[in-house]
Amino acid sequence: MTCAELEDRLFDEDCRAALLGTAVVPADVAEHAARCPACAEQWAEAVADTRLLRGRLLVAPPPGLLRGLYRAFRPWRGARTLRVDAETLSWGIAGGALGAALAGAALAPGPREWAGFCVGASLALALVALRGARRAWLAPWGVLCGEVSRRIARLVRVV
Amino acid sequence: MARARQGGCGEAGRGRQVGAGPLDPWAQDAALARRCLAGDEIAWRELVDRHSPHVYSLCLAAELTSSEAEDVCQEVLLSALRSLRGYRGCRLSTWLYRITRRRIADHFRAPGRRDVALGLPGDPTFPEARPAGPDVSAEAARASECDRLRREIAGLAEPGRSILLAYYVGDVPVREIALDWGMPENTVKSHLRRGRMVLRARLEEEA
Repeated sequence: MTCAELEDRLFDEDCRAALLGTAVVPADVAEHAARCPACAEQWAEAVADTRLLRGRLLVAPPPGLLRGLYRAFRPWRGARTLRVDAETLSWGIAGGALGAALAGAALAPGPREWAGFCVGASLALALVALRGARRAWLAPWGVLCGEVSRRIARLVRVV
Repeated sequence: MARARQGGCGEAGRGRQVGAGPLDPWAQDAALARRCLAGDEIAWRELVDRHSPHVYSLCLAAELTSSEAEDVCQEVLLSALRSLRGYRGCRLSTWLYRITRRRIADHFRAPGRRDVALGLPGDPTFPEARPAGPDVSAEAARASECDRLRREIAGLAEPGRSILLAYYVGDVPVREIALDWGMPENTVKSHLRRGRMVLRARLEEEA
């Protein structure tokens, strides 16, 4: 390592942690500083500056603010769970309605086809619920699976 | 070293800063965010404890009053909680720094923010008196030193000032500052080096 390279390394993340005293000095830097007094001095200056800047500029927020922020987590978690359930339910209803419309558009659906549709849609919705409804694009699978299973049931009846 | 694409700061953005491993800060941040999303309250407290001083201090450095800084800090962290699912790629500190910057700009744009009445003694908006004690003068001296440093930083030219604040107060890595500002890493380092030297010289002069 050269002196210029050390000067460049001072702002890297591993060096920043070392300058703040939260990590050990990286081996390459320590090795170079040990045999170069100018760079050792530069390192010492960087330690002093970094700690001074952080020490004076970093202010802890008031405890009341922190308490408020801690408390905000539970309502958020609760609302998120409710939102996921509502999302699953709404997609389920939409999937069911569309599947029923598709079934109605087809030729005289029989009870076995309807049963197939319900089973397929339920399985797909269970899958969506299991995944925590993380992706909105998962929901159309409810419709697709319902329609596919209805057609399979129809095919089975024909065979 | 190849530059990561603008706007993202994923694996390619890490450069040689810290190697991947159990202590990789990027991986630690991602794990902390995942734990929060999974509903782990301790993880949320850890996130607040670790990052709220940076957010709050950025607000103070933007010359907001302490009560305004509290409001903005709260808004930033609550907004981060609501949009945590969208966090990926960069350091949490960088992500929060970006939200803070936007919120501070919104705050300055808001028409009703100026000249907020502090109320009368006894009103909830009236500032609380600090208890007198032996360390009051030491605290006051420290506060005045901090103010002096903030003034010196406020006097620096842009983009040096913002880069210095992002690095030292926002805890944003050089690589991610470079991506935000669309400049090479070495230019960011030059700004940091120059800013630090100017500040040191001015503080020594005053001392």
